[in-house]
Amino acid sequence: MNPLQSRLALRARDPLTSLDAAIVLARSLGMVVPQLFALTILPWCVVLGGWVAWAPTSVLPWVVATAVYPLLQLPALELGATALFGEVPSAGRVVMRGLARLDVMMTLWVRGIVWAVTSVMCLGLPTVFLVPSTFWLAETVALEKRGIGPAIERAGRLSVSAPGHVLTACGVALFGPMIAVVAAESTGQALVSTVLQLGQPFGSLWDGTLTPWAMAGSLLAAPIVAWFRLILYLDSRTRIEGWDLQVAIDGIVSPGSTR
Amino acid sequence: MDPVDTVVAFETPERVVFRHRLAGPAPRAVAWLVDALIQVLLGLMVMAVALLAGISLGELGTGVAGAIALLGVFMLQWGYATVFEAWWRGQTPGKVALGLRVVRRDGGPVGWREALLRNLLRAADALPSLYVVGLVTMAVDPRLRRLGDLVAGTMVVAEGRGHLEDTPAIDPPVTPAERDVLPARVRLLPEERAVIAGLLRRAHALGPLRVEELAARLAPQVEARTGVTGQTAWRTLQLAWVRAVRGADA
Repeated sequence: MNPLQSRLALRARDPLTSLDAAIVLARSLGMVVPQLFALTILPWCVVLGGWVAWAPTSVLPWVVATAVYPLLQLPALELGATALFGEVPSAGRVVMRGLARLDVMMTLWVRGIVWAVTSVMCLGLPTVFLVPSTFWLAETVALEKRGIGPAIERAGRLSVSAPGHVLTACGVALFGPMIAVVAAESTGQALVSTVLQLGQPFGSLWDGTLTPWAMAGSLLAAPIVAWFRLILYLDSRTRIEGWDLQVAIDGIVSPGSTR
Repeated sequence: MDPVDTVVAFETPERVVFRHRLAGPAPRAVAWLVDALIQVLLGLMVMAVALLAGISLGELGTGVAGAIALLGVFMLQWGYATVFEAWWRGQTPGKVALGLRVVRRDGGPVGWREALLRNLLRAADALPSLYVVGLVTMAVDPRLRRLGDLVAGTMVVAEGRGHLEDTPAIDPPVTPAERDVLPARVRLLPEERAVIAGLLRRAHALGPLRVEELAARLAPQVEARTGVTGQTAWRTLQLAWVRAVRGADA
């Protein structure tokens, strides 16, 4: 990754502005986003939908959907990381790149699952020790193409230097999809039940059913959360390592190297 | 792909360019929450006053007080944002708290017409629930406008709360030995001055190693042009900057 090629204006941002920048990034990426959605998230949607239809009262689809959720953010992260520092890749290329780094990404995912399970079992204690050191792992791996060892070291340093960003990103990663689920469920129910007067053909989230609306809300939020985290990560690097100053200096020393 | 940024520039007829940062859904949602909270509190106050008045006036008074309370709540719901935005030049208390302002498409202040239109259309933006229509419209519009803004010809910007910064000081100050060898006059490019000032202001946050690493990229050019030499690259930049800014007082 070369900060000189960044399409994101490197300057200090607050979390709210970073969220806005994530939305602007989503629009800038154009048609690649729906294509990537069709390639990666839609198949999972179909599988999960079929599962829920087959076992509507089972809790297992909820558990699996929650466990797989961070994995669904990875293609969006790969797309954002590539597009911000180079050309916008095609959806197929993003998938291929993701597959090439599947080992690292799966390791990250398994670590996340182990962390979540042990946190539940040990009253959240591992959270205190693990989150600060591993929170930016996926971003570090995606942007710097590092192996898991150096990435852990780098991500840990960054988290310790900007703990506020970690807290904010944690909050959005946790509550963002929840808000999206509630918004999508309310919208879907309002459209089908109130406007079209068709009742509740898919059940209701409030009765414990995983409805298509809730699923759509959570899946639509996945890339936005991934891009928000990416921009917050870049903001941390700007504040801590002075990337904006580096870009300005390199622009003075060799004019034409910056956009 | 276009640059990912939320800054928009307006050019006045006098060819003066103003830059503003657009406010997107995130800060606007927080501002809306603040306003909603104030509206709820005001609504409760109106209803409490009406209730007390109704009790003291007897049976006839209860009906009149109830009607006044309902009218008050209605006015609050539909008039709150319009009145504040028109009177406070595009700001409601929530927007003031978040540093946001509604402006016309050309950057000018909004009037009653714009404030009324954008707030009447709020009902459409809120459809079917939780402002989904407004959110989708903002996400696809390059200037992050909701339906009401598109119709009224307005947009919401975040006002910079910048303050004039003091001229940073170098640490340690120039020693007599350094002063003896400094050239009488040093000229730095405006960009060089800005970068060195930035380094001086953020040196503590960046740490000495990183500052030296960044300074080492710029110092050879400054040294070759100005003839200033310090013990380290960072010291070279500091000395060149202090001589360029303070002249003989350095």
